[in-house]
Amino acid sequence: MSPALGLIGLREGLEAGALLALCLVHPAMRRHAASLLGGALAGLMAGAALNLIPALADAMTRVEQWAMVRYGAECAVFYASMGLLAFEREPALARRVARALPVAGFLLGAIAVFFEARVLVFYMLELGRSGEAGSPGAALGACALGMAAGGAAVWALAPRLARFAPERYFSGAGLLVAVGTLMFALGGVPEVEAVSVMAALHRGMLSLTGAGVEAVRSALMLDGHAFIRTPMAGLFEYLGGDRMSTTLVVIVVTVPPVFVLLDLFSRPDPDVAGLDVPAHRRLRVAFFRREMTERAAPMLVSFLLLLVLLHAVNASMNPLSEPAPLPVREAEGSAGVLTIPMSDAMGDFSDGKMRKYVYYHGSDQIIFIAMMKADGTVGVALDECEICRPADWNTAARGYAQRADTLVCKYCMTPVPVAALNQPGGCNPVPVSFMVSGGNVVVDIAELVRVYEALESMEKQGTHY
Amino acid sequence: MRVESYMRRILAKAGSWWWFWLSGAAIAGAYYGVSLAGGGVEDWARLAYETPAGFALFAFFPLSALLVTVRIAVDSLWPAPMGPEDLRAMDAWAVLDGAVSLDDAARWAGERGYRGRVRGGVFTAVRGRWAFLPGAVMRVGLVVLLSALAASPLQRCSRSVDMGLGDEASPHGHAVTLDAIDAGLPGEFLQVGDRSIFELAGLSAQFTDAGGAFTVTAWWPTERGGLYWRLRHLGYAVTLTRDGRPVGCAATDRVEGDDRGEGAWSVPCMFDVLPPGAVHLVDVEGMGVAEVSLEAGRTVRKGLVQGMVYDLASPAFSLRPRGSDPGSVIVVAEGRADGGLGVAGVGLYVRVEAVLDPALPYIRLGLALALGGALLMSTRLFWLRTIMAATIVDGRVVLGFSSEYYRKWGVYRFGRWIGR
Repeated sequence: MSPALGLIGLREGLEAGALLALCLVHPAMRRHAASLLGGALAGLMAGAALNLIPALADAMTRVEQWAMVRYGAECAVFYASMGLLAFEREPALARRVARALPVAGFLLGAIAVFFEARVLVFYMLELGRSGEAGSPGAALGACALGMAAGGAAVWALAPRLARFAPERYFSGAGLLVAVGTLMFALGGVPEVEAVSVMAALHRGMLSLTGAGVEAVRSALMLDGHAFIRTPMAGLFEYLGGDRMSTTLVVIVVTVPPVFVLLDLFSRPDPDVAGLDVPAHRRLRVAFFRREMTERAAPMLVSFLLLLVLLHAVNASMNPLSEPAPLPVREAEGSAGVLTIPMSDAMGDFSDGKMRKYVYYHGSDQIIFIAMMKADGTVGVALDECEICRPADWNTAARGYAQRADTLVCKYCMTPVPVAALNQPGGCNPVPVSFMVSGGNVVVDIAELVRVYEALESMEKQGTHY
Repeated sequence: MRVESYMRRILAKAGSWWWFWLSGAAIAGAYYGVSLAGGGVEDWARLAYETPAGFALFAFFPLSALLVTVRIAVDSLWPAPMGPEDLRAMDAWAVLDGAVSLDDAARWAGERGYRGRVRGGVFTAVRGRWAFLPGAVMRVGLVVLLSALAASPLQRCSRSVDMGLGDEASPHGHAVTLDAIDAGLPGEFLQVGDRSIFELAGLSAQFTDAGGAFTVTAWWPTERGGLYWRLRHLGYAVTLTRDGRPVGCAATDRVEGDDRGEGAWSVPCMFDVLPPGAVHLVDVEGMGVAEVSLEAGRTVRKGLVQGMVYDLASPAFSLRPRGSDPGSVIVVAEGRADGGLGVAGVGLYVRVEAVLDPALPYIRLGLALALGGALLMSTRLFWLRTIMAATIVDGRVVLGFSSEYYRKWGVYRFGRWIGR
């Protein structure tokens, strides 16, 4: 049995156990613990069955479809918090909610476990079949043991945590927000599914807002044009663009915790007019305020966790890529030039990716960039900005990284269009003359050294230390 | 009274926020379902426009928004009579010390800015009676916008036609003649780098129809003869000659709504070569398909930077037969012949779009109302509906107070008034 698979199972067991334990914090859920745990067991079995029964496995084959169902279910749990608040305001509906709690508990348990179980069993079976983990049975066994250990650990820990009376911290709606946030944060099996719910939301929102804004723009007969100025072009581009969709995702994700918080803080202090003893009045108000503060704490934590998730997704969707510099030297008989093939085992320049090369000149390392621009021409420049010079302790911030079709100064994070490569001035990388000959980029060493030394001797303007 | 109560109950059910949010969730659910099946926004819109069930689903949202608005307006302007139980269900209530009649309560409330009337044994005073207006305007705007957006694709009929100076066209049967084009193309345009920075502002064209002259721009559409006119494109109309005789051209791409036949020779040639650097494939009579582009007047270098200077007012064009050597380029301009081809005249053409769409005014109206309402909503912080009511229970005057939003503040204020 593979210990690694056991560890994966342990991690998933801990996550599922933590989610279920969190649900059981609420007294109403504790009364229906059997439903919740039954739902979890049913979710586990259904997830496994989807992989083990061929007829079920063929029902939905696309990964994106499953991801959408999972995200839909997680969002439903998250937004159910607002529904619950609204239900609680109407006594007749609140009574119905109370009656529906066993079903809700069952569904919550099933959602908490089903999606992970499906992916985990799929992953274990694949590893087993490929021979990496012995056999499918052995892989499943290792994972199941790990999960059992994770679940048992949570179960063992739960009574100790119960001493802190965690139920004080959660209203029904607050619990759903917390559970939904944890699902967003922990959901999925990272070894198989890399995309987070935030990224999926962002993509969906971008597609929706982009198409919606274009539809309204076209209906208003204000379509844009490649070179003729049209009314409110900037506004429409902004509304249908990436920033607006990011803003909407932030709103969608932060509305439930903010709504629950507002609901908490908008409650007036209790009416103490009927209490004659001033100390009793003060005590009652103090209890109320303490409860409000305690219940606000998990909402604030959820809110912060969601912000961290959003930030992580935002950063991951616009990743900076930076290749390690490849050493180059003058080839024999090449008469003082560096010859860089535009297509070799390292790939082809036409992929538009930045490549870095390093030429060792005495004790100096001259790092330069070479890449193909969108128009098919090649650009070569030193991996140095004419303006920024990070301090000696911060040399890792020197030079540029690539983000889509821009180069980004690693020090000041200024984006520079790739098309500007080989153009001097401003934040552009310092250009180096070169030739393209016989499928090679040819750089004159003397010229490279001259440009480098000229830059080193320059007192940079606008340098920050 | 009973009829009023019955009507209010129906309106309360039909105009409930629950229906509004349910219909919104149903639309979102439809989008989710379409996405799950691998579709996009277009398939979602098709569901709304082309299937009765989808249309009913989508129509339910504006309908519920309208009903919500009607209910809120009715409740605000003509509040329902309240009973003792309603009064106790308000945000805060208290017995008014020293008061023996509803007149005492009315006086007490009046001193605090609440002036109302006694009806059915209950005193009711409402402040912020018109506070529903911003929300109502926004929702009505939304209803108008969504309805007009749904109707527009069914009603809209669009025709685009490329016209040079003096050309006549009859889109939708409305005969117009193009009299003038004001493009303001510069005599010297410097193009630096790979991406075009060419942007044209203030493009306009003068047309004449039976009613006289009118101007069409690339900005807001011009309304004329029940049609909406807008300039959609600009290019050069060039009269090529060979041995003194005009040469015809045929575009290899067709514009939607262009009525001319495929492959028909036209004089002058329409060269779609803006912005500088763009290449247009044109079938030139006696030459075959050629790649046509603007020819730069000169190249400017400054250090490593290179720019091309174009004379867009008196342009030169380069024509290269498709598949020929890069060197076999013919450059022609007014007064400059090459390879047997000459230019007898260079003008401009515009692509004008004429749209028949009865829904367009409603789209504008809906958008204006929705945006205006949304802006007005920001004033709700200072403008909210509060109710004070009083009735006599067991010989004592019981006062109740409710606030639409910021309940906590309202309760505290009421507490201060009462002396708690």
